[in-house]
Amino acid sequence: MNPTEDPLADFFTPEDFPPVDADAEQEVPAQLERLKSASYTGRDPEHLVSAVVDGDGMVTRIRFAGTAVTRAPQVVERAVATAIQAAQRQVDAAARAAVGKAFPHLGAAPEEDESYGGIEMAVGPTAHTGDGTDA
Amino acid sequence: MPEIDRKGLAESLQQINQALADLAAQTGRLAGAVVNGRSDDERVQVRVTDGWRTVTVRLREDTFRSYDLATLGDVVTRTIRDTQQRARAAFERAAEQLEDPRFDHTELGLRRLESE
Repeated sequence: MNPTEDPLADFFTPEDFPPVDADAEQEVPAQLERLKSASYTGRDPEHLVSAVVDGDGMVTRIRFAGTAVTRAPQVVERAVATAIQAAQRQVDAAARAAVGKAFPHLGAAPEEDESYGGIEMAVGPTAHTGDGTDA
Repeated sequence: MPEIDRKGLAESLQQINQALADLAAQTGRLAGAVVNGRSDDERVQVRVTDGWRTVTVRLREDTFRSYDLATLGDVVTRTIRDTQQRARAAFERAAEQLEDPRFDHTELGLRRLESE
């Protein structure tokens, strides 16, 4: 059949089915499960706030640095949101990396790090900031 | 090996694609719902949307005078988490109601294809 006449040609191209690392593919479900039980920490650029989220992006801890009291509440409010978003981006990046190992065409390269120099991922059930300090 | 009904399969896939697009639009609308929460003393107010992902916090002007930082962290954490949990439960309940007969139809068709 001429490929241009194939009714399936609109749906599949050879690029849709690149070689898959079978070993890595088998590990994906377990890896994603591990990622879900991990904790991810993010901070705002001024390090007023640190946020820890679980693998579902749910907040498990917010901490305020001592300098937060010197700032207007509106500034601290934005810092909370920014820290949470930074932590949630870590979740997304970790999931993309896990899927991308087995399916490079699906798991995009990790985004440019916008971590403000203060994000770590802590694998394990207990959240921590990585450096042992408050925000 | 039997010849695959490529035209029929293409039609089924077209239906799946359309159903997926419709589902994505419906899910997007659900995610737009806003859930609000507040601490018992109302000093901390929280707004959650995008399912349970986007969190906005409002702190009353006297918040820092009312709490030490550790306690404030606990109060904010608890208020956000409670609100996220309610938002997530509402989102998941609503998402479960999203049914599309096109998925059943195409799933049956694909199963038949698989068994041939």
